[in-house]
Amino acid sequence: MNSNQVLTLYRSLLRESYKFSSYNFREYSLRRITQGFRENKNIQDNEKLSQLYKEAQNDLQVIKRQAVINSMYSTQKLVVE
Amino acid sequence: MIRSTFSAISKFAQPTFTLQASTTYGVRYFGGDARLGEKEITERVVDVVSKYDKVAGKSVSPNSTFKELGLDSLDSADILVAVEEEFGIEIPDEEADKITSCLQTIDYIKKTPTAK
Repeated sequence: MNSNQVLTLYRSLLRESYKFSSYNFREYSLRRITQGFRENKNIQDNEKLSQLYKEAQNDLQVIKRQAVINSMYSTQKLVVE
Repeated sequence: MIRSTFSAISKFAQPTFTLQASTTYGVRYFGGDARLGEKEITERVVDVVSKYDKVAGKSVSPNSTFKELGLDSLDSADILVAVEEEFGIEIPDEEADKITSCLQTIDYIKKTPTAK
């Protein structure tokens, strides 16, 4: 697994997170992704890397589903937006 | 009495609207080139980059590279996705891997007709 694959996954996670219509979901998701990737950016162990990669792929699917469901129940924008 | 009141009203009731033939207000050019100007793109890209947390306090110019600003590959991915959101486009991965500076970002948006 090379860094390009990881970056591609990272970018798709971010892109999908922007699709949350709820401010709190969107901000949490973006924050969690950016932090999570930085926590593990120095890991060299291949086995650990591929395990994390798989987890992130599953999370991407979760985010995709939840963003769609979230957009069905969207409300007015918050004052902070 | 009535007559004088009437004449007073009619003085105000004169039609006051005039047609202004010289105004070009509201003219729209459909089919015109809807691409963004270079200046606007530059401004908005620099704005997105300088809003990024890790860049706070540093001066961002259109010529600065992401490396100069102290950003790694994850940070540049953050910025590029934010730029995508700002302009309503999606930068394909092969292109995104090549972009390492503000100038390259601006160039990419310049040749993307769907950017808005």
